[in-house]
Amino acid sequence: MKSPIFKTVLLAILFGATLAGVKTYYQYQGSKSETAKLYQNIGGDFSLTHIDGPFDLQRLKGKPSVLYFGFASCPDICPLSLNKLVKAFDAIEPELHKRVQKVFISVDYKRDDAKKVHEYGKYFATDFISLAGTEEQIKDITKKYAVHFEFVPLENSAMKYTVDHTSRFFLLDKYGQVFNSYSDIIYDGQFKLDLIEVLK
Amino acid sequence: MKVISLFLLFSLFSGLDLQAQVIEDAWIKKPLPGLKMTAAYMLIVNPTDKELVLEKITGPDALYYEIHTHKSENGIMKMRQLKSIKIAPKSKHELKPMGDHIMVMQTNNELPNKLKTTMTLYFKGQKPKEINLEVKKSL
Ligand SMILES: [Cu+2]
Repeated sequence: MKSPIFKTVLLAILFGATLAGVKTYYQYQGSKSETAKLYQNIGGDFSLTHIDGPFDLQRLKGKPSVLYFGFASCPDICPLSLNKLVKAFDAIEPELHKRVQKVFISVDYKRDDAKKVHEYGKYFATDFISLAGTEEQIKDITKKYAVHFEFVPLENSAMKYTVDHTSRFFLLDKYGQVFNSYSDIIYDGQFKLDLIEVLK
Repeated sequence: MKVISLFLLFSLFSGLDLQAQVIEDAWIKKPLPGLKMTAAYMLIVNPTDKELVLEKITGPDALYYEIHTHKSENGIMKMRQLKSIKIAPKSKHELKPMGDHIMVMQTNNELPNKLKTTMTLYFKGQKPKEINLEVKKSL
């Protein structure tokens, strides 16, 4: 019962609940800068690999970004999420599209490399920034962004293992700071409002 | 006499088989570029009085076909393999994106260019059933 997974899940719930509570409070206060303050503890610098070479948070600065963590051998959740990411931008003016970066990060460091994720991301949008990393790099970034991922063996499957992962979208402002995060960005009106905010 | 009983037996079995299960709207997602895997979906209708159990799938365009399901727990997406899919008497079971699916792995190079493919479904205690699936470009 008191397995590490149980503890992680419990921590995640507590973290989520705290975040939600604090967020409501700040929304009540109506202060944008204070909403931002709430996220100052998650996010931060990372180092990963893009098909063109090393890639870190510095590269994302200057424009807002939306990050999604997943893995390429994921048959529907990841494709549907990446498609949502593309579709969600329909909510903003077409000329603003180019000002927001769409980022896909594969947590499956055993199966996915920069080339594979680049090919994958390109399918959804040609300007997708798709990143892969080593075990150490992935552990570092997921810890910083509070993303849970876990390799789960599939005993009798040709797939050998699957990757359980948090399905969440992170909005980063042009300074590379996490502005907000969402479980869904198509039906979440807040995402559109936040997007307009970070594009100011 | 022997011939008649054989005939009766045959018509009984073939009659059962005709009524056994109906597969509707079967389709397979065109594999994404660079990927050797995809998923297939369909509606399985069980008009009989007995439980229907899908146990195995084979096909010509991939090496492995498995029964999988998806679930979301506390915002964490999980995919798991299932031994079988049970369809209760007089009911339907839909394999659909984000839910139960047939995971298709080690797909061949032809599949992305095909408009249709086939699969053979093995239901417990039934004759194998060959079905046609539309290859659809989908996310
Ligand atoms: Cu699967």
